[in-house]
Amino acid sequence: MQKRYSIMNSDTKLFLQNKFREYYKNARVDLPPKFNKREWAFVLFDDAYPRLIMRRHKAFSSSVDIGTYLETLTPAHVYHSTAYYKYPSATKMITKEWEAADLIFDLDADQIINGDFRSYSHMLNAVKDETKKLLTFLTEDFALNEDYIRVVFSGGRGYHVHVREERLTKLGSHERREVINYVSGNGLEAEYIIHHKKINECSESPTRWETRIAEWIESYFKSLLEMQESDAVEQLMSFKDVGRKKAKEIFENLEDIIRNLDGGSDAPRLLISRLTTESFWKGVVRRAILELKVTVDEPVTADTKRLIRLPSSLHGGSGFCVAPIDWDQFDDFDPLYDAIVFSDEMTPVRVLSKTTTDIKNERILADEKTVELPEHTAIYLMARGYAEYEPRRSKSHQKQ
Amino acid sequence: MDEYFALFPFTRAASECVRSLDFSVEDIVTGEGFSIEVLSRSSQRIKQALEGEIGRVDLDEDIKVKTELLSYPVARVMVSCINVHFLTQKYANGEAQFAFRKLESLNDGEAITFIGRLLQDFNIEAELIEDENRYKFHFTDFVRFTSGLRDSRWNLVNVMNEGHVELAKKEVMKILQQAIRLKVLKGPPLKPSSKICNSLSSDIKSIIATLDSSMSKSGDFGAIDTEAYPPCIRELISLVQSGKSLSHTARFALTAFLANIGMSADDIVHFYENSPDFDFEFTRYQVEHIMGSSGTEYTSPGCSTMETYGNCNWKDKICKSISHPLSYYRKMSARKRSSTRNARNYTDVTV
Repeated sequence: MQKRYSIMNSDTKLFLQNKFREYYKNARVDLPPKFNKREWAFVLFDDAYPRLIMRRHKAFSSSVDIGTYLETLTPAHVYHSTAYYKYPSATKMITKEWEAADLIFDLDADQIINGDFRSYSHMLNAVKDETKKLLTFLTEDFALNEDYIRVVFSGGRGYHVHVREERLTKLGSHERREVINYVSGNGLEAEYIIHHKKINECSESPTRWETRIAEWIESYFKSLLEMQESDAVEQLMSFKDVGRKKAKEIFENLEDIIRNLDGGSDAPRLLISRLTTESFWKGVVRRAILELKVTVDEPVTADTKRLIRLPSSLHGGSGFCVAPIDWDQFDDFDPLYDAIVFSDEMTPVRVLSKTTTDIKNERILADEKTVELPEHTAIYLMARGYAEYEPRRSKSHQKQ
Repeated sequence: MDEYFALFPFTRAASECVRSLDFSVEDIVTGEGFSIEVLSRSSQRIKQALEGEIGRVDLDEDIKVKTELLSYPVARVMVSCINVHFLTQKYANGEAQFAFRKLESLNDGEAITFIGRLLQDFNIEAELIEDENRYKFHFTDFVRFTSGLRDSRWNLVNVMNEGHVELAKKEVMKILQQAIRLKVLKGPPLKPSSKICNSLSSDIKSIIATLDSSMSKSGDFGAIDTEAYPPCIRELISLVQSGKSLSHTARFALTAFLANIGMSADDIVHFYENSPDFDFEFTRYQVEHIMGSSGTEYTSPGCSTMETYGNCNWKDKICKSISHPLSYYRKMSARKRSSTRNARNYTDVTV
């Protein structure tokens, strides 16, 4: 669904802003640690809106001030810097004097599905799986404590992960890029993995990546065993230099190959033979890396001075809450339910173009004939530019 | 006096020792006798760093230890006075390599002791796994120092386990070399006063003569082959690679130059990553704008403009025959192509 930067009429803007205001008045806004050292930025429901004009370089010294700002000026979008500054409100980046910054990740559905759009919920599941992969990397490979990691629904089509551990906040851009390289598997030397060579004088125990690849390879071959021969052969033929004859032969020898995989160590034991050549294993390892890696928005993580949405704020483009999520509730989290803060109260609208929505498990087909929608859906469509608020109809409706 | 201070004079411990000796750089500069030895060694450090490697000296007498210890802060002041980034970079590399060589030459016991002290000095928490002769680094302490190292064993993805990286002694020495390089590059917090720089003028003149001949030889800046680049551009590159910020005109000049000689937008943006105020989106926009996204493709400024904006601080022989940095580049590239290939002496510049 594309965003329409149509001109939003003032009735709609006012309606949205009032609804947002109600939310901010009653909500407990989740302020980030050391909020007074961060730069804050807002997009307001002003004349220019929905053109996004970022009003930057704001700073607050008390949480009450932030609350007041949200309740009175009620912005459409709320951001804060990932960075901690000595002078957050300074208008030149250098004069702000950067001190540290949270490590953040932005997982966006668009990047992950890469054009393969099937349905909104399929998309959301794909990005949730990717986020889980990232969280596993962070807690297992980087050995970070869960307490330092915050997962937040982005309010749009993905998740943000905020990592706030003292040592990590001091990392510069290059170091953060190393973290990205790690979770993307960039620079993994397939040769070392295949030959189980020591990459430095010390690596006696395998690295977490090696173990992960070993496990993937084993389960991949085991899954081939479960398949029909024709399907397995097709699968095997997808590897470079494996023709039908070779694929068949490999399939026939699968059990042997699997048995050879288990060397008792956690690192991949890839026996190079006439059948399973080095080139074949390279392909397999590469496939493993492709499946195991995480796709994150690189510039976001590498940037030590990023602006990111305030968790618990509202996203002006959807009306969804930028919802913080507890670790043990992540599996069950459904944005189309759990990020909705508005009611189902019927709201008068004028729909501009036909769309289908699935909010709160209610599938609604809205078209030009629709006169009213549940509030949460109405707000969503208005925020996206697919509908306008129709106060006149409300009056005639009230008579009934 | 503890030899450690003289061997590793850039450490905090060494600076404190210098303070306790009650010596100031002014004393060295204006004094006589002993000071002459110090000044001589300071100049030597810099020149040797420029031309190859810094040589070791005997530390068998207390006076020699003191001289060695004091020659570092004085050298660093000289480098700050000259303020040519190409020199600062070469010097920092030289000192870092020098320290590495010293560590390499130690026996096991001494190495462990000195490594331990250096790690502490740099605030690196590394656990020594005694029997196995290995050190366990937290990944943040590892990535802090590997930006200059290219080999795949320095990529986190190949070596991390449970948030840590295990390294052998030699590898820890490499890490320390990087830490030292960064520290020497950064230098003292305050710029030396003009009074001090003036007192050092004769030594400085001599160093500058060496710098001149060194800069016109092959300059290997790592991935970017800057051999054909004019000195003004090489200086700007040096600054960027060190994480210094450029003035607006300098940035424009450098970006336009790189674009004009055919570097891709991606590579140029990537090149600016270490700038302190690096903003990916903005840099990308800027680079594309200069390369013609708005309809005008910009040409980098000529020599007189570079001079006007203070971006030309170094002219070599070839500069005298051209009036535009791009002409310098064309001339030098043509020369490279036409001359026979000689074996070149690359100094190991870890960038």
